[in-house]
Amino acid sequence: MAQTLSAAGKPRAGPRFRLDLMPYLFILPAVLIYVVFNLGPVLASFFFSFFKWDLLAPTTEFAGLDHYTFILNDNRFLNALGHNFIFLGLAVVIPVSMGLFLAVFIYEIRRGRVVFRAALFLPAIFSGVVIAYVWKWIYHSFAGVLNAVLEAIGLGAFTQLWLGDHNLALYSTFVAYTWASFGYSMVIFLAGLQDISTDIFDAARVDGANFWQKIFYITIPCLYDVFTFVITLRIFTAMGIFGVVYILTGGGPFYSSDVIDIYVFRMIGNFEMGWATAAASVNAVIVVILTTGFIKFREWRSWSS
Amino acid sequence: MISTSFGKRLKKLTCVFLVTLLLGAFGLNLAGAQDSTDILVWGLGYASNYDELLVERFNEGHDDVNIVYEDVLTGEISENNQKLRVAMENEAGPDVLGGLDVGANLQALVATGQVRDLTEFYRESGLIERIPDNLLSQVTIEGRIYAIPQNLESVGIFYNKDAFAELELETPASFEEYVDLLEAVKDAGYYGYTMGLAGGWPSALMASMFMYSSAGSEYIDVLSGTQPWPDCENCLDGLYAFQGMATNGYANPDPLGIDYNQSLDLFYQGQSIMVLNGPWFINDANLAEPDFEIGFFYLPAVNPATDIKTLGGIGGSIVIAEYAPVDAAFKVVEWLTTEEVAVQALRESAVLPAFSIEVPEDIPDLYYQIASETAANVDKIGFWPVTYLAPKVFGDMNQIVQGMIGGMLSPEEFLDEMQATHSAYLAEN
Repeated sequence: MAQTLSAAGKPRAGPRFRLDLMPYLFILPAVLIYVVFNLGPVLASFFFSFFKWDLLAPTTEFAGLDHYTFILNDNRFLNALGHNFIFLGLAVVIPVSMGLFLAVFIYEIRRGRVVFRAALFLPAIFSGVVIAYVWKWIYHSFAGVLNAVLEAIGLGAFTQLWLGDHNLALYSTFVAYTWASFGYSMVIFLAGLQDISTDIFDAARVDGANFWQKIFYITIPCLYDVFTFVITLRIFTAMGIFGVVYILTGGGPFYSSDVIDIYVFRMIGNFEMGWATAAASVNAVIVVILTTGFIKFREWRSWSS
Repeated sequence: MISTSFGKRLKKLTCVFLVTLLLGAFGLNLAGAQDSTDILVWGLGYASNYDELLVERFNEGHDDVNIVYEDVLTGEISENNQKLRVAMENEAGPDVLGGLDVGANLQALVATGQVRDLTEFYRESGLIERIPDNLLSQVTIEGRIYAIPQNLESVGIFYNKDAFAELELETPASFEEYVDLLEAVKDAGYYGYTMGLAGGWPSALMASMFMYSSAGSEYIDVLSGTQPWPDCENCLDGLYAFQGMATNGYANPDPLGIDYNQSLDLFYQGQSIMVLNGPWFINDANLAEPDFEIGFFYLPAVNPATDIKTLGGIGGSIVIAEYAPVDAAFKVVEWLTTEEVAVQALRESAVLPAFSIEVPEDIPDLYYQIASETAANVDKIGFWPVTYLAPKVFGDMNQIVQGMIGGMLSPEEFLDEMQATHSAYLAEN
């Protein structure tokens, strides 16, 4: 049996023990914080979803699956969930493709790269609340910038009640969300682009590849893992969208822009903690299924190709 | 050079001095603890800095009770109620709290034994004689009284007096005259009815105002769940009248896209010249400092035969936590409901104190007008929907009203939708 011996011929258990434990000690603070502030509340929320509770302890009573049955039969929950899926469908296409396009644009230009990069990334560093209030005034139907600009350039026929029309409200909130999020996708894509060896692009140029061929046959395939990360991030944010929608429309008019987190927030405000936590748990399960499914699909595609 | 014996004596003296100082401080602390009881107050529900002012005045005049004030409840109503519930459950909340909304929130605190039964205090202090019966009924649960109503509010129309004078308009005496007034305002290029429903809560209040105005106390039966919503045919007249504010062009454009504060800006800027609101609006208007004078009148009833004059109710109430030191807490509450400075502060914050509904004449015109109108109609006020409806149903009502104003629902469909929401909630609870 192999055994490490010290110069004195005794087993050197000390260094070996430290080597095994040290990585865990290093990650312990982060794990503790994660367990206490992330995992703990998630598990507590799941636990409370089986109880009828209005924040005052003595009324806590076991409700079994009643809250899940209620919300899965509640048209307003299903309506909100549908809006999250619309958001998701749009979010994995528009902010992602905008981010990619702008990243390629910044990567290709020779002058002003830093200025463009900073300007385009700027919305991503603003608080969602600030962005929502800015857009609330942009969308104001008769004092807002958007309708005023449309009037000024002769497109008065296109002025709309951006937040007050139930057919538009959800999409108006999506535009504000896109404005806040494309910069983040752009920066990640840009980092990915800078990792691609310039030799590949040089070789393609020598072979006579044009701009679009380089995009489709080099850039996009080389950014495979970056796409996985960016789209996974969009799934999280689209399914957990709250601040922008809450401030812009509050889920209205008449639930036309309602999303799950506003539904949950409304339930918490009404002290229906059981329904709120059940809805939040269902949403969490959907997010886990979507992200895991997507990542597994990407792994399978990667393996099969 | 200091001699050794002198140094020792100096050390001794210093030790004696420090020990005396410590004992003195400890003794003072003990004496304070014995003589003065701390009462934790989170908020009294008064406007501006009146809370701090009253706490200061109380503490100046009392050696045996000391109010400790914490400005905790600074958020939205539901957020404040969440903080309150969590704290009270853990006995870390306030001993005395003002500004509490009655209805479902008070009922929940009573049901879980968090607030003290004040029935005996009412009798012993004579407070029961000073508060109108219909207000007492709002804080009475199964024959016991649990809160002290602080003020009585009523909703009416605040109008731009200067614009009225410029357009030679008179305040209306009937709903027909009110509609004529709105037509005249529209023709003059102003908005007659200010409507910002994006934030939610004004939707249910405005719709309720119009339903009280057409169905009277029948609407209370609907809210209480004793009459189905679709059976309230008298409610329909009110709903059609309310919907007409938007569809006839009396209201500002895009009522569903702008919120309450944005709609008030229209009023302050003079684009809209009437706004349906409660007395809390006066404090908002004072801060906004519009360059015109503001008048007030009650919305004339859609149905003149209705037995209810307007929408309103208790603006806030005082409760004492079950765990609070009872004698000291009673002393604080008694002072708040009898001391002139406290009553006056309430009058200037919330217009009409519930335990002192005589209106003095030496208050500003607008305050006097609203207070005297409210006092004169104390028995004809239909209470807030949240007094009867669970918060969830009230929240849904806001969205359903938006559906009706946005043309997604007819008034009949509004009543059907409300019935479905209300009955589903009642079935689950």
